[in-house]
Amino acid sequence: MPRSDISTEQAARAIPGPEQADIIVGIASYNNARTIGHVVRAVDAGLAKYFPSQKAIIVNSDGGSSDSTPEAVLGASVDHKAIFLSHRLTTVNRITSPYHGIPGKGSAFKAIFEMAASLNAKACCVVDADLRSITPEWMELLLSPVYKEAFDFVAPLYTRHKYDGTITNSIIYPLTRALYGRKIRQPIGGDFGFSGEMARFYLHQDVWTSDIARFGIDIWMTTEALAGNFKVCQSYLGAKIHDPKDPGADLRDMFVQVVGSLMSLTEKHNAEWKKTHDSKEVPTFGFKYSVGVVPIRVNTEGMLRSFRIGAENLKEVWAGFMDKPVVDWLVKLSHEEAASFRFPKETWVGIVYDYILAYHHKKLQAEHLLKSLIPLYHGRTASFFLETMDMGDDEAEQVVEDVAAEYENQKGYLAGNW
Amino acid sequence: MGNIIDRLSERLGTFGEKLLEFIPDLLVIVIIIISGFIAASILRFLLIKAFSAVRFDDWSDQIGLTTAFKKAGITSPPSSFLGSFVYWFTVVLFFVAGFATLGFRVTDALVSIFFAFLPRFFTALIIVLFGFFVTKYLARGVLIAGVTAGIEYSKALSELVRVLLFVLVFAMALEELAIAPRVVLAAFGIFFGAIGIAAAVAFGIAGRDYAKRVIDYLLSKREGNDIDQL
Repeated sequence: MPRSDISTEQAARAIPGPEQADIIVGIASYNNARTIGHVVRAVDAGLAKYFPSQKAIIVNSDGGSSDSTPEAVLGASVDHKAIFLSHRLTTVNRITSPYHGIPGKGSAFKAIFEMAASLNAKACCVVDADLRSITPEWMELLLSPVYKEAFDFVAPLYTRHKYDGTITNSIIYPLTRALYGRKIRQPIGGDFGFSGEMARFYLHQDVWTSDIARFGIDIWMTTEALAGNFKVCQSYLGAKIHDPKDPGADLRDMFVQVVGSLMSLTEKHNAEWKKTHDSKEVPTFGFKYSVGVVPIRVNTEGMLRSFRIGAENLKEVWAGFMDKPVVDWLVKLSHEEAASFRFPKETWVGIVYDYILAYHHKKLQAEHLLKSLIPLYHGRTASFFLETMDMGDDEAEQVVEDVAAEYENQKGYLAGNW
Repeated sequence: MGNIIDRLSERLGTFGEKLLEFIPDLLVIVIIIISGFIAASILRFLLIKAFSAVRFDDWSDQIGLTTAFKKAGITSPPSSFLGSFVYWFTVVLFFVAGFATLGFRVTDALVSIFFAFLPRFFTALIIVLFGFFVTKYLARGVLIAGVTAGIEYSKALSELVRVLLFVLVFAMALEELAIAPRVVLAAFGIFFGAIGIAAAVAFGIAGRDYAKRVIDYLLSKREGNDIDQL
């Protein structure tokens, strides 16, 4: 929980010196003392190297950490003389401030948007506090497209292991691409650049008591930028390596918040996505290079078990909004051994669209509906693991692209039954 | 013999007079009942129109009311069923009101009992309807929470919750209707107590291994999965 009653706007007014900033870099944190020092040093060095004459502020929006995260932010030091031949002309201010509202990443970002708006920033970016692979170049890649090329929103592009980001690969990326017609590969990457105008736009939306104030913030930022016809691009940042997720964090809640936010945005922007019929690339900045990624261990058996339990217990719930032959097929699939277990992309995409339609037609209470999708997601993900077991990352990426194309192929079904 | 005939004709005369006296009352009752049928038809028509305007049947599908009706042997759509219910309730109401006009002690007593019972009846009806929605919601919540937690017998657990809540709801409704309240209370206590003890004993003796498997599975899931699904 936030631990102080000083608002971010008050904190912005309390900064000695600048009443205006060119650049704001936001870092949302909660118990990240182990890693945030490195993130702050990389940001500081990046600002010194690429934006030496701009007024820049690093804003740490903290969720009430109990491990001295704010102290780690203020204490992280960078020896500019040791890194650069010439060092920056102005100092980078750092602010650490607790945010207000419901606990979550979205509320932390709101505080950063408030700061950006009140200081009239031209370019902003947000980076995760648990990053281990961030380098000073990330500042150039996230901020320059906004500051120098007049883009409104910069999405990240990473090299990830084939088994990393399975919600992104199976639902978020392909669906966002099919709906809004832009190939943003990491819509919920978490490290974004955006203009001051975009920050003000975000700030004025009335979403801060919903799941968007939690883990739904990333998909919301990307979708609003796409649906609002803002100028969007992506920047290649290399590998994304971060601390393992808090083992206590409930992935089911994260799934519900992210996918639920995506569905509510599909509802909100139905007029926009119905007009879109294909997808196109977005401008991509950064030099793409080959980079080693940390191998991911996966628990395929656990995912298959989750799917089988779902098929055994939820078939009547699924039958409320899915065709009977599909439900019967799912039940049949649940009896397959791992060796022959395959969940085809065509069926998966049809099911996701049935879920979006069920959400739209309010066939079931939203939380129940979203949670009932989890076993199916596990089934599809297990199938993806099995299908790509012997593939390299590039081949596995092609499978993800094929899934995305299937979402585009079946989009007419969604629009026709809306 | 003549005496008998005189007595008979006198009685028949009295009967005829009483009948003639009763005919206006009977006509009033008939008129009230016919009015009741007309009013009931109008009410049913308006109600079905209103239900249609607010898409009540679609909503009933969504919340599972249609399925519940079908399970109870009611095949007509919920809007039509509720329309019929209101129709016959109005007819009965007019019927009772018609008899109340007679002013007889017996009919007056019956009418009083009927109207005194109405608030209890409607309270019980509201308890059952509200209980149905809450039961449906909670049972499905238990089902989905169980599945996402990896419990194999989530459906059985959900059905158990559904049955227990239905028993609770019907006990509350019967209590409200004042139908054998002591028996209901005792039966309710015995039923829930027995289930509680049975569940505790069953879980303690037979469920140890299963509980261990579930806990092992949950722990292994946490330890062995370093995937970032986002």
